[in-house]
Amino acid sequence: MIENIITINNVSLSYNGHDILKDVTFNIKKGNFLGLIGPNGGGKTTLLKIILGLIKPTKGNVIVADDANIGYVPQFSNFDLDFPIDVWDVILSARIKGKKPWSRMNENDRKVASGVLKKFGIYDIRKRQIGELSGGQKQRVLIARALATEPDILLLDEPTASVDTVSGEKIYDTLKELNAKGMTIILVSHDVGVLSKYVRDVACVNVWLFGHGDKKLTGEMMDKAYACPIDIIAHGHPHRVFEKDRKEAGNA
Amino acid sequence: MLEVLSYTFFQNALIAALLASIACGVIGVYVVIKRIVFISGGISHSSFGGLGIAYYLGAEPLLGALIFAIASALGIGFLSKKSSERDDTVIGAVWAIGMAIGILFIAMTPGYAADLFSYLFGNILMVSSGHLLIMFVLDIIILASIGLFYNVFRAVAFDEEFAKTVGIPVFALNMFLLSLVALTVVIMIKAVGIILLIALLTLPAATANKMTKDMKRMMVLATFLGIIYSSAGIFISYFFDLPSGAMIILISAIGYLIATAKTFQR
Repeated sequence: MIENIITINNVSLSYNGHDILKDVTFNIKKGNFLGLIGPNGGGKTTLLKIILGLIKPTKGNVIVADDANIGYVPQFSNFDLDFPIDVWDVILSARIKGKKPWSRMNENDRKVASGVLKKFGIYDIRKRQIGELSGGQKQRVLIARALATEPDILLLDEPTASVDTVSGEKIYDTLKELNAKGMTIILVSHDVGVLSKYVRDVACVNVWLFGHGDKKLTGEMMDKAYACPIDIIAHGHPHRVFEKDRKEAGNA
Repeated sequence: MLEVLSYTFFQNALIAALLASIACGVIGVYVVIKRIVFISGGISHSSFGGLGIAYYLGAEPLLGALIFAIASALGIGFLSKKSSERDDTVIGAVWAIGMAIGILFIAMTPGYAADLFSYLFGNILMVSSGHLLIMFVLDIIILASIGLFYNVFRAVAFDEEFAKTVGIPVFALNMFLLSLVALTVVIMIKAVGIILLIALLTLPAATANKMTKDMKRMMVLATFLGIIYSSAGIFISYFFDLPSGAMIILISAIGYLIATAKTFQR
């Protein structure tokens, strides 16, 4: 029996009387590679931020097992291109974790930083200022930064939205490799091809949770979750798919 | 021409220019990259309230300004994060309330407020050694704080959300940084005045950012630019009998415009 690394209990979030998330309940098993899908504004990013503790839910709670370490890759945002920081210092900022604000970086921090940079093939551009990077390089820096926190769980919010297909595949291959070594990964993505090729389970969030985990994500469910039908099952993806209806998924 | 350098008031002016440039060079970089220019303007203007009260009580106006600047920095920092009020509304209110309190107390003070103008627009040629001491102590506090928290301040400015996920006390650090902005404001009052100082706080740092993308170099360069601008302003205002604060600001603006024009060409 694989233990749950994240338990999401009845989480609701409303803002000015609007439901962003409603009664979302599900568990994420250790070592899973979960794809989180759903329409824009459906609450996927919000759910990630609740898991991270950046946003407090109005109701319910999230339990992360044994204080597992979570690494976060935010949605690609347009950084201030003039911001005076280079790749190396962006990565090192992750090593502040567990330190006092006035602590200095040590040899181990620099070793970890070099390691993640090499893993993503961006070691050679470590002295470049953040504004001088291409979209794909920036994205890899953000993922490398999250990995520099040496996480047990990695949350990624559309990590390849601004990346060409080839770089995207490289990124996913690396994620798959990390997952194979035991890292739990939660990936928000719109990319059906990616979901079918890499993730093990899929959860669909549009305010409510529409199906998750060991259950089949039916076309009907997708139709309910998305405003318009989405063709996901037809891709013949290799991950496990079973049946589950809305109610069981937590939409009481 | 150079015999002016032997006058104490002129030496004081140049030392004040140096001390103000260090503060605005270092803190100005954070103000610019963190996009808290408007907040800094609010802190600066609201300090006039404390200045007016101290003036009324016969105390050192700069110390009154210091208390008000820190209080408004913490107030703005707190309200903009912990209340649902819009940031700029809060800043605008604090800005004007401080000014109003200052005007009121100065009006109630018997006699003619001769140096009111110098607090609003600066008069670096009238800096006393007591003022220099205050500026020096505040500079030391600023440099020591930045020396300690350089990395975390930058991490917070770069990506606040990620900083939170690695356990950096973002709120506390933001409040602390705003307090350092308050100290900087007080250092700069005698040089360029409450109303004008926002330009000397931001323009050298913004100009430096066009020349380098390395943060430490940016701080050094901004400090250096500040020294050039303010010394040039002192000399010109002395020899042509023009207001020093306005002169320093206009020279800073010219430097910024030249640097900006160069980026347009690229």
